Amino acid sequence: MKRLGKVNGKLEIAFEPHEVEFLLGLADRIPAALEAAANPRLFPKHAEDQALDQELRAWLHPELKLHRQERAQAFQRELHAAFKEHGVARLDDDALDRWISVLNDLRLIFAGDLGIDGDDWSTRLTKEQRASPPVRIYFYLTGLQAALLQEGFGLAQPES
Amino acid sequence: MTTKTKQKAESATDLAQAPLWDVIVWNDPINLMTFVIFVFQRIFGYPTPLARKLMLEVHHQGRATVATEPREKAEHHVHQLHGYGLQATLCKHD
Repeated sequence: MKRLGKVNGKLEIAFEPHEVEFLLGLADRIPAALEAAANPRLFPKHAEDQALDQELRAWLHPELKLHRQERAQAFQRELHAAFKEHGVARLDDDALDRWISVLNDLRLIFAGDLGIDGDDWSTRLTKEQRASPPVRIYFYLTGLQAALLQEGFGLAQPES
Repeated sequence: MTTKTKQKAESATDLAQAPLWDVIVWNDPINLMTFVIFVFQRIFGYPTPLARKLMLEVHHQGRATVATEPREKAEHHVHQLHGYGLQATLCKHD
């Protein structure tokens, strides 16, 4: 991704065509992942109290699922349209919010597949694991999300 | 006091006395620190220093109470936090 900076309050970014295709393909994974209602990362519990959690889950799960589906579809439309016509995406704050959130959904999906279970997960990776496609994709999505947060909203990773 | 004014006052008192609920955000190994700050700003409108303080509390303590409010508002905020992929629950305020 090439960052072009903020112009008139919108973040301008440019991707290579293969990167656009790659991101569009990744976003295709979201609808299927959303079918797993029991996925604790995509659909966390609402309360420690089981009865309250079940009540809220029954009421809110369809809305959350639909919101995520529509967000992913909007991301794909915007990404496709931007690079088809201009080669550059110009994102206002709402669009940035959407892109950052879709990237986060993808990170949650890959994290589930990779079994990420702790803050020190990456330190326990072998050289071979680090080179595997799912891990590289996860790190790519992380870097891209971090870049959008920094370039779009001035948020740099703080010291822990 | 007119009936309408009395009803308004009673309603405001009810609201003020309504039980409060805590919105709790839990630590997880996936969401970036900057993303958590961003979410707190977007949902609650918190200034950056407060959003960062709460994020660090989540990170170091494992959890943080990010809001204390009436139940309906707390449910809505937990729902929004879930929409961003954060682990969040609500419980009655002690």
